[in-house]
Amino acid sequence: MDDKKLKKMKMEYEAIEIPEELRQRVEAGICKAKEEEKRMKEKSKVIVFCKRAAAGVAAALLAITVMANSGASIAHAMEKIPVIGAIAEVVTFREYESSTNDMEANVKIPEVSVENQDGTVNQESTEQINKSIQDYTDEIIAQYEADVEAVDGEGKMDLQVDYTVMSDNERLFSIRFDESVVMAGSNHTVMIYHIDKQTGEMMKLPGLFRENVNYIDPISENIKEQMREQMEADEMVTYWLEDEIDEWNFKSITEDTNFYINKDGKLVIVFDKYEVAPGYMGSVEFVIPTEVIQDLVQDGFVK
Amino acid sequence: MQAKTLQKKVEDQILDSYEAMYRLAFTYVKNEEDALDIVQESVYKAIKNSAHVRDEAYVKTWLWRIVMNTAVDFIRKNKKEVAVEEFFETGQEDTYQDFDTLDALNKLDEKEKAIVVLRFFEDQKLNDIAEILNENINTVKTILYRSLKKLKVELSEGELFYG
Repeated sequence: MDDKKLKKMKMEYEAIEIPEELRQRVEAGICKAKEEEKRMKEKSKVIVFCKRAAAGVAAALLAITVMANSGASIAHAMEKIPVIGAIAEVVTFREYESSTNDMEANVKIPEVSVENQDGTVNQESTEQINKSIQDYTDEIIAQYEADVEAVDGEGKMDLQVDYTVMSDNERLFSIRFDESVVMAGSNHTVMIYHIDKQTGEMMKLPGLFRENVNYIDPISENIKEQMREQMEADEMVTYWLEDEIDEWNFKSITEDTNFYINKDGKLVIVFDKYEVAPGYMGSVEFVIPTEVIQDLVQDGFVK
Repeated sequence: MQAKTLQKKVEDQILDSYEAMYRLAFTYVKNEEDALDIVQESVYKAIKNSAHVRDEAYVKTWLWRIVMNTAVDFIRKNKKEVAVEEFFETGQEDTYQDFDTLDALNKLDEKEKAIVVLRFFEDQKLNDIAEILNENINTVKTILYRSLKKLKVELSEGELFYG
């Protein structure tokens, strides 16, 4: 091989013109990949909206394990306190289990009972929260079964849904569901249901606050502040806040945003994976300082 | 946090070496439009799968591999079109760029082409090339030797015609 020839070839190689459009196309490629991450997030939301359609179909396929409830001690403890409102507790749970080669699912489906002050069951609230839970888990199970069928059971997937009672005090009963799906990547979705014990009814975020107050903006602003502080303190932390693609950016919480009250009596706002940050951040939570909302919130929820 | 480091690293590496990615793609398809498509597709794949890079140290070689695979896939999918274009290219004078010697690379198969480009034009180490191609280093040496032999034949013919 003649070195001169090789050098000439190299010169020609280096002389390949770089089109002006190249940089733009590179950025377009980066954008498209990030957009799909975003779309994955939206897909997990669609599941929430579509779940009612799938109820009943999947229910027939449930492998049901009824377990004696260990919540008796909670009920007992509650009896000693002069409770003003209702009692809500997990009475039993069922389990959906499925395993095909490398595809596995385990979904725990609790049943909640809401009792009135006089000890009678509050039928309406009990049915409402159990239906919400059933619809939610049915949709997850139906999705899993569709995935198994789509690949003839030859895929790799691990689905886990578990629940935790986050709050059970005089004022509030909250039950949280954590759905984790591990396939090629992984996803984590959170859903939290609440019973206001004073009214015995299911509630969402607005239920914490007095009527006609603006709690959305102060909380959203506080979260943005926390995002900025965290990003400044640690370069490994990223939130979609001032991203070039504005539609990704976190702007505001909504009435449906997930929340719970932590052990210290503080409001905690919960976001799903991909909702406000890239996937590696996972599901993220923000503790809202009580002074931000103390003039807005109803009595008995936060400290 | 590991995933974040990798994605950032991949993005930085892309922004650092997209011109080289373009040149490699161009040597495969020989036209601007297709080379741009290949680069865009490679960038998309790289960002989307950045969590799967085994090690930070492999980001660059991994990126080369994506470009190469994307280019090869592209050629297989568009075999007819490329063949037709090559026919026209050889049938007329190159007006804006002289590729006489670089065209010698057409004698090489996809792997040989990649090895020559990466070794001599992009100054990659043999170890890294082995990593890019998923081959052991002795195989890479063998292919490199074979490629140079093929090129020599081609270049000698060129010298015969124009010398």
